[in-house]
Amino acid sequence: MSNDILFNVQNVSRLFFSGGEEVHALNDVSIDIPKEQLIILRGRSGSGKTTLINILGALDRPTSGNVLFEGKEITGFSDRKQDEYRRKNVGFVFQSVALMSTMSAFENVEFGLRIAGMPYAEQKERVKECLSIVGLDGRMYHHAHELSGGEQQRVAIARAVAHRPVVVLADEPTAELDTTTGLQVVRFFKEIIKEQGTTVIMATHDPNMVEIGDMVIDLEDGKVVEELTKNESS
Amino acid sequence: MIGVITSIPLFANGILQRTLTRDLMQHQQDTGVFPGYINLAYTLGRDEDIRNRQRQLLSRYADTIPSRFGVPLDSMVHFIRFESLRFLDEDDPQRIITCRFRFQSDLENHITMLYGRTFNPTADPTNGTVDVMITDEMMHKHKMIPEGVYTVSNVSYAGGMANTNTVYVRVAGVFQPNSEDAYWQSMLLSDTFFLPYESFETFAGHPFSSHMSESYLLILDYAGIKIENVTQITEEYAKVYSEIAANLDVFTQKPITTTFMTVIDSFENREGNLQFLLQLLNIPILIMLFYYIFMIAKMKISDEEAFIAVIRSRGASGRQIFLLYLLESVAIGLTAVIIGLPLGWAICRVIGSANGFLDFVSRAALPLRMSMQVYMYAAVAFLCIVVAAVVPALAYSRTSIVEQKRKLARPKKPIWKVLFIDVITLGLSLYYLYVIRDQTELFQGMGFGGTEAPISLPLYFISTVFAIGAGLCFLRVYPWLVSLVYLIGRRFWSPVTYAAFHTIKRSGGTANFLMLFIIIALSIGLFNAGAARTINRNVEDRIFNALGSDIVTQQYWTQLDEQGNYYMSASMIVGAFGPGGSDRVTSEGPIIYEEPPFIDFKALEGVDGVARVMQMNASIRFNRMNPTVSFIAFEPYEFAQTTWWRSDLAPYHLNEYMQIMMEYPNAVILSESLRTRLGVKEGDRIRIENLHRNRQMEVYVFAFAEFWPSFEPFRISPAGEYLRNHFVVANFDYLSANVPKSPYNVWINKSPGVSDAFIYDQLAEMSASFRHIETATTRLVAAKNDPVIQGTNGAMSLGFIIAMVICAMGFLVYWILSINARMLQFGIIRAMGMTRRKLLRMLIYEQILVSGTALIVGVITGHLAVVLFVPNFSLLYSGSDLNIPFRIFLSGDDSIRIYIVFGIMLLSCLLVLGHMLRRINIAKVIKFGED
Repeated sequence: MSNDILFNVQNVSRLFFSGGEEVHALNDVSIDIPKEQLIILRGRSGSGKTTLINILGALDRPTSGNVLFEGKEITGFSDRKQDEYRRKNVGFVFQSVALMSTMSAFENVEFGLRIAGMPYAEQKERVKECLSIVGLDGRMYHHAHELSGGEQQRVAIARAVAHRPVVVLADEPTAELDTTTGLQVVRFFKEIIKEQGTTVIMATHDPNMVEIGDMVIDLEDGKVVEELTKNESS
Repeated sequence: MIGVITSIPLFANGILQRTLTRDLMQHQQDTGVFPGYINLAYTLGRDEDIRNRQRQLLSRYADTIPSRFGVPLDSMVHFIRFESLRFLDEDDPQRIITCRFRFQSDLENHITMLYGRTFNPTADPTNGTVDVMITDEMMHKHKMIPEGVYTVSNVSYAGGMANTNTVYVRVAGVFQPNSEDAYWQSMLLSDTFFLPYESFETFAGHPFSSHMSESYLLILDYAGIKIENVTQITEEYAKVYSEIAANLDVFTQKPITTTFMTVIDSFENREGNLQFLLQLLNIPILIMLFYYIFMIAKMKISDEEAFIAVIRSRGASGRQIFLLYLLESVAIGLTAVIIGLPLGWAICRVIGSANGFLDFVSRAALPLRMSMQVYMYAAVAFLCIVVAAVVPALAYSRTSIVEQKRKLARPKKPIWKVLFIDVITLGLSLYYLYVIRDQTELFQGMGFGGTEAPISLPLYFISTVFAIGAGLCFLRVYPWLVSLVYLIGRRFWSPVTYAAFHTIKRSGGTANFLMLFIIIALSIGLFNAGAARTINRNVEDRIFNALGSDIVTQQYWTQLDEQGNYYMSASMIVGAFGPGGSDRVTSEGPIIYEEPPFIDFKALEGVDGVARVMQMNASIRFNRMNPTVSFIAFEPYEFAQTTWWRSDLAPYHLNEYMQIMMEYPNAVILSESLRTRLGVKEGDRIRIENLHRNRQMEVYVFAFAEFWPSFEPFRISPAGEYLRNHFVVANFDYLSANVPKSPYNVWINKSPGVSDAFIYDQLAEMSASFRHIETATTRLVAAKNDPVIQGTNGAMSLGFIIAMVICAMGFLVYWILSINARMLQFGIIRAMGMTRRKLLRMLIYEQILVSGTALIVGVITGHLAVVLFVPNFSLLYSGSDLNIPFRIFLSGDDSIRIYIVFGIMLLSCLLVLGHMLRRINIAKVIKFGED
């Protein structure tokens, strides 16, 4: 069973100090996250889902507790190792798209590949492939600001998966999109999971998304309230 | 900002004030007259009523003139004279000496008593003898004695009858007037009996008072004459004069005279030019500052563009937004003024002590005064700041969100590119250069120069225009260059460089602004440096070349006639060769000179060389022509060790000439001007005539040169024309073999670091005394004090420093602002896994591409500007007395300074960057971006 688990989250707590008060963003959270599935993190804003995603992606460290990635502990990583971990294994998709506006769609994805260190010769093909997956073949060379919001998000996804990360962490990726486009995004995720064996962890407060996930984790006030797997969803 | 701007008029005024005071002092030096006198003097009429009226008038003016002129009164001397008196010499009754009585205020405080006592103030002429005081000069002149009694009389006429009136005077005291005391305007007092001032009244109606004159000598604190009062002085003087003329006789007398009006007049004439010049020099600085403010404001506002658009969409009107920014900039402007005025004052203090370019010495501080002009400048600056800050706001307040997004989508081509402003500007400046060069050469050939030269207005800031044009041209080309480089190495670039390139390629906008800014700032800085150094160096070199060496001196040579008796000298003729020619006897008998031992000079310590240099006028005979030339002869080896030299004076190195002259003692160098004049060429034989005792010598021409140390190429004829001079350079030993010895100059080359005083002391110990000693130092000091030079140095130094400071500040501000704006981007990049270090490197590369290239281009443009435009300054600063070619000097030091400043800028920026990057909490940043 353990080789099907991507992340072991063990007793993770995250404290923030805000205005002289302690805020428990995460309070003693323990979850096992399986591989090759679409995992939905659900909860209102302030529930801690972004914090959890950040910790999973080594953008942040917990105040206490451990996180194991494929059996290896990542919470103790130095800054350098964190960067390396992210570079190799993680792809991020954010709510506000954050492409480099001066580059074209193609160049944006290419840039991601450069950072990840893929040999130049392979880059071009891979970029085209990824942009094709998200359905942007026709508009590859347009500049970022010439694309619509939905298209930009798709580029972001292409960028996030181009370097074949083990996991894609998406923080409210559909928040700024309309329903149809949002569903489209999720469809891409599912395709990527199937084609490339990536795991996608998506944080959202959109109620429509719940049906789609293979596993749903409900967070409230930093605590896991409910864990549902597909079989158990009601 | 305001500090700088206000410092400009402050500085200008300070310089002018200093000039005025200096002019007055110079006047005193030149004429020996105290420059602060206003003298009201009048010989009064006989009739009592008329006399009273006149006296009242004089007194009234004496009281009111100082305040009318606006000049500070130090003290006043009032004296009354009874003229046309006589006294009898006791020893020789036949001798009648004309004398006068004088009643003078405050006498006791300005004299030194030698014998006797001061007088008894209550002396009454009708009872017995009157006590008087005389100067010791008078005592000796007329062989008088203290306590001696003398008979003073005059002749008066009444009713057709001549009466002799007598008063007996006793010399109660003998004194010496305090020398150097301004109280004494004239020292001609050897026929004057001084009586007690207070006793004047007792002489009312006395026949001695028939020829009476009265004087008020107003002594001013001339250093306190302010430039603001200059117009007042001249105007009031004219008024007073005409008022006086209405009441007193101005034809046979001069009721009012001053010792400074001529100085004031000439100053007024120059003031206009000077003011203008100083303001002009500062134009580039002002342009730079204005641009800087504009740029910062624009960046700040574009930062807040989103904010503006948002609140507009929420209903704020354009006007409200405009007002908002207006208020903000007014507030900032006011603070700037409050801080800036004292800052400007401080800046002036520092700049005022500029001795040369960036050479600040401690000297008497520049007299600074807050005048209306300064306030006006501050007000204008304030307005400019507000305007500069608000104009961008105006533009943005009109946009809506929609427009704004659209703008992002389609970046417009910047205006200047469309209008080809860059090419036009560059073209204009180059065209101007072409025109002005012709003009300069023309004028120089005609011998114009100095402050009379027509100043071409745009000359001063055309270099800035050039920089702008060149900068813009480069910016147009730059993106292509970058794209080219990028494409070439597309495969190889690390992600860092990749990103850097991209930013540059597409950014335009603010990056362009910054680059242009840096280019302009650097160009101005370098141009200022180059111009100032060039001007200073040329002034210095000119002086050294005119003199020949550090010290040039000549001793007194004893003269003997044929019998060996001592002889008095005849007239002296000064040639066009430097100071002091040699004596030339014209029609008297043959004169033999005794040469003082030159070996004494060779024994001097602290010198690198001494040389005997004969400098006199002679003439050349060749081809049936006989022009007068300046003749200079020296011993080549000595000369080489002693003379000042610059490599561009002559086609070959000095030593090569000396070599030939040593090997061929009868070989000479002629001035270029003679080549055409005489039709002579190398190898020809010419004869030099009119040497001492009318001797001649035959020599061969081996070379020509245009310039030579101590040779002045032009002289002014009595009619005011510029006439060419010629020279011939010969070997001293050869001269001595052909012509009897006559006085020569001795040139002394001081070792570095040795003071003039050290040499003087040694000279003083020599056996022979000196006829004259001239030093380069004295001339240099005088030149440095010239207000034009001072003003230029100050303005240029200021400009240079400001350029550097602004560059640094603009640089930092730009980067900080732009980094802030791209925080989100950085967060993403970090999230994607780029290490902090790599991110930093990416930014560094960006830096290099932007600032680095701007630096290089700026330096190149700056140097170009110097080479192209500075030569045209030669006209203004050296003009006709150009005895050496005008040469450009670029100090390597200044370039180094620039690099250091830049290096520091970069470093500090990196530090800031690194710090900021470290603080990026990625999660926070992204979150922030999402808002």
